[in-house]
Amino acid sequence: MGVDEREGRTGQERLGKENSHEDSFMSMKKLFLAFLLTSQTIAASVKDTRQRVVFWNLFTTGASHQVITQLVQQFNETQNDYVVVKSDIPYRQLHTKMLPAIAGRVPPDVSILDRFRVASYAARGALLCLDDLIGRDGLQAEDFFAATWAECLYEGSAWAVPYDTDVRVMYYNKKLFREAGLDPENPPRTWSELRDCSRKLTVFRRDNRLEQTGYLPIYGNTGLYLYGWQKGGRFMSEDGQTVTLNDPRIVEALIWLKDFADEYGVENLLTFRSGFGADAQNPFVTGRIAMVVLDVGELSMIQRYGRDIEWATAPCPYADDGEPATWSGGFSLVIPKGAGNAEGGWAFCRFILSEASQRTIATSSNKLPALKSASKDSFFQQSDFWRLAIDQMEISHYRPVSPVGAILDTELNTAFDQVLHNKLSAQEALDIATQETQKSLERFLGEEEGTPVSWPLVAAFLGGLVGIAFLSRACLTIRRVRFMKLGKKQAIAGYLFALPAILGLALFMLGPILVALTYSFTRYEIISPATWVGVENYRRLFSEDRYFLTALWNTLYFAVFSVPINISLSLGLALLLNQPIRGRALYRTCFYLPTVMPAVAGSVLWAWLFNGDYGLINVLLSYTPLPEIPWLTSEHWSKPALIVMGMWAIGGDMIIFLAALQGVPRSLLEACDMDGAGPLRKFRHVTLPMISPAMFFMVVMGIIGSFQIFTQAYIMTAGGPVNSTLFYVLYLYREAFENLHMGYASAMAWVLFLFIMIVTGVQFVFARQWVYYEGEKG
Amino acid sequence: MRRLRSRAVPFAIHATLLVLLIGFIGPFFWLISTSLKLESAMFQLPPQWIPNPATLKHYALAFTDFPALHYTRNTLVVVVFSTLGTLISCSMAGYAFSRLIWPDRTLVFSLLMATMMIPGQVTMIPIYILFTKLGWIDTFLPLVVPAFFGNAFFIFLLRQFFLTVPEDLIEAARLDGAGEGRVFLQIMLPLCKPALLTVLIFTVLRSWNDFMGPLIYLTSEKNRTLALGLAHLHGVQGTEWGLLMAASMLMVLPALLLFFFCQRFFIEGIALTGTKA
Repeated sequence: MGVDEREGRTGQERLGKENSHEDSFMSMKKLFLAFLLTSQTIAASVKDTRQRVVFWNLFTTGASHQVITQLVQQFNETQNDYVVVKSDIPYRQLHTKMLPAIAGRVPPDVSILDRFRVASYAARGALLCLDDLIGRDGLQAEDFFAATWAECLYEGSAWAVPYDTDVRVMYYNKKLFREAGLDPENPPRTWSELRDCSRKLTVFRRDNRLEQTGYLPIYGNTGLYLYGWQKGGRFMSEDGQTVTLNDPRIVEALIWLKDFADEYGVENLLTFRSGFGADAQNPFVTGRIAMVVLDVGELSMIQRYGRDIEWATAPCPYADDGEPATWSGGFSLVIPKGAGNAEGGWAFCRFILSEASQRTIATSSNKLPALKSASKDSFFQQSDFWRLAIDQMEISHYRPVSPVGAILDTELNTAFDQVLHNKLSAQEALDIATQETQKSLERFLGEEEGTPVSWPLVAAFLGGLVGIAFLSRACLTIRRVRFMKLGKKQAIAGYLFALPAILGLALFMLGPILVALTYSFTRYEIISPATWVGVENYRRLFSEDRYFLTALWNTLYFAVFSVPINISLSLGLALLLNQPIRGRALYRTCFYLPTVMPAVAGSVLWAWLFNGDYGLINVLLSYTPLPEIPWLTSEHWSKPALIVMGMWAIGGDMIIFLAALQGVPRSLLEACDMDGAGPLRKFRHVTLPMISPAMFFMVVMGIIGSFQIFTQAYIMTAGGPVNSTLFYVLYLYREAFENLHMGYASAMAWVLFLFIMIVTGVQFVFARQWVYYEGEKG
Repeated sequence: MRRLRSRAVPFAIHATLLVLLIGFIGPFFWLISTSLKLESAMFQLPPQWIPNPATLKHYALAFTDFPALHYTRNTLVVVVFSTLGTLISCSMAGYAFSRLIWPDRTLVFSLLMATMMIPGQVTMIPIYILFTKLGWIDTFLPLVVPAFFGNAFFIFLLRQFFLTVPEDLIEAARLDGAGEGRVFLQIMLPLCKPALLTVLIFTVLRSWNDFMGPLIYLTSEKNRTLALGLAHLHGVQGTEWGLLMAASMLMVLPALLLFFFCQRFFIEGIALTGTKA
């Protein structure tokens, strides 16, 4: 699972941690809105001769959104050279938007970027090196918290400037401590103390399920990173050339975690965790966990909803034979290469890095400023909570800065997952993770030399090829048609009617597809120029790819079950809803409803429905003698869960069948009735053949569609657990947009394409056997 | 005996439908109920079905904080034009691939089908670059213009439906001297109304809910569509659940109304000439 999920966090929970406005913010918001309104009208009346600076902002909700809007406003009002035009981008979609923009040479002038991603972009030449600007304007690294500045450096140069930062601390529930007979002023400092405490704070329910735990090794904003560092391990060598995920100390940390989890039973823990909610239902504020490591950004949520739990914070407990450690993540500002107005972008960066702005950012949104001096503000100094946070910045680490950072992260999570589910030992899992990441790294570093793809040449070649094929075919056809005796009018009409489609094919579809084919023979990292690698991508896909077969298997499994099920269900529904019963208009609308819902709402809905503890489905099951099923947390049930979810959205298919059923001539059906045929025979011999064209469509499209299943897995399961829902296109997407291996992903796409084409071709051949087109000659 | 039977069947049908209905729209009720709850009550487990206390504040916010009307206007522009484009180009092409015979028919059809078999993720960047070269970024053009050039999915669908129109009917018309244009407009289209309506509903819905397209091609706030606006509510520092649910509801309603209105025409026995009932 990508680290995309949260700023600088490796999310292990899904429905957790949502911040909300503080009440005190409401009035500030109103004031600020009034401010905005008045200043807007004034500004509008003055003609703007300043240079435009396009700024992409990722903070679209909450306090951080207000702060950045306010800062942009302030910047625009306090100087006369530039005007910043802010564009809000949904956080989760930054890559989808940024990568094409850079590839298409229309990037913004300055943008917010997750610090974690900076190395990835920098290594591929997508960012402007800021060394000169930093030197010219005298910014000093020492003025910033070490972890924030260092994460912006790659190969000795600075490619970003930090915007803010967070840090992880342990929150603990004093009330629960007292109840368990522990000293609330003395939280655990080491791992052994932690486990000890946890044991005393754990309460089981009658049915042997967990009611309350002390500390949950599979929950919290830690990743395997925290534990590895606390053991004194390192994830990568200093020079960034060697991946060391299997550092013996990290292996020990993982073993310790597994051991800890086993004490409660992994299944137990997973089910317990899936019952966690957000905000008011956050497990910490509702007293279900006594201790948890979260970042300081959770403060407002905890202050707001945790009034009666008496919480406090402490440094994260570290290994007895290790060292105190924590880690930070956060955002940064970058100037993409090719930005139209780099100076303007930089001016905005300087403004954000000023002490005043840093104070504003941090105090308004529960973050620490990146600038050390801003942390001297009394807001921080007068609070135990913040003083602890600032202290912890001294020992704060940051995730490995590397062009393969995303891959490293995924491999680490996978390893953790595998060990937790007893698939591999800690050593094995981390060895594999290390190998895979190292391979990727070496591939990246090694393939920097290769013949660059000259796109004008490729375009000319492809264009020429298509052009020649098109023209020669056209000439042939014109000749044929000219000499046609019969059917000439029809032939010409055919071409005319199909003209928009033919043009569309040529202009919008063939071109891009051929380009994608070209990609598959290159190494193309989207934001860096492509180089030729011949059939290397295909070779690797078939011989070295560890997930290729898994992805294929998952996809086939899904297709084989969902297509027949969906077709039968939608046909059944259509049949029922074609009957002259009362209220069928209403029924039809209701069954169509799910197709109309936006994907976000739908996925959240189903994630809740499948919840192991309180999901509606399991609640219903509990009333029957059947056992409850850990749907989305089980590798065996995750695909069935998605198949069930797919059944929900058959409204569209139902309509197609309804339309088809309209076309069944009533005269035929009446003739059947008169001959005394029962409903079943009528169905088999009249209805079915008459709707077989539509049926054929459904089967073909169903297969094409199910082979490309992506969205649900992307939103709900991220391919897990243990890659059981890693569908082919999800894997492809990850390779393309998260790991930036567009060339490889294109090869994957073409393999899929061949596969689907063969399957579809076969279906068209067999269509003659069972599809009946009325009135077809011969 | 006959009376019992004629009452039992509708009853059985209703019973089955109602059971299935619960499964289908139950979750939808959760959506409504969540949109009416206060934030603190939203994720309570076990969940409460009836919001208590209920609040309309999210809906109010949907119109003040979230420029619903403005986004709707943008969305409508995209929807209307892309639907128009799709209907015109796809019905024409559907006819061409079903009841017209021309030399390259199979070739072009195969190519068309082939375009559906490539995952969009890999063609995304070349298409995007094409549009940058045309200067269409941050306009509605990339979302609307391609619709006028056909869409493999709908062409295939309409082809299948057009193939159910009896050849004799068309032959008769041709023999009477009707040009292909007349055959198309006066025979094919009227006889395939349900299919066309299906395409209408699908297209309207697709572009109404389309998120990827607007995300990639639209940048400025003034061009934003509803689906994109919704995605903004799912932010970095938390999701505005209340607003998200209320806005989702508002998005769902027009689509539902459209469907409800259109499906009136899916009634068996629509008056048509010819051999069809």
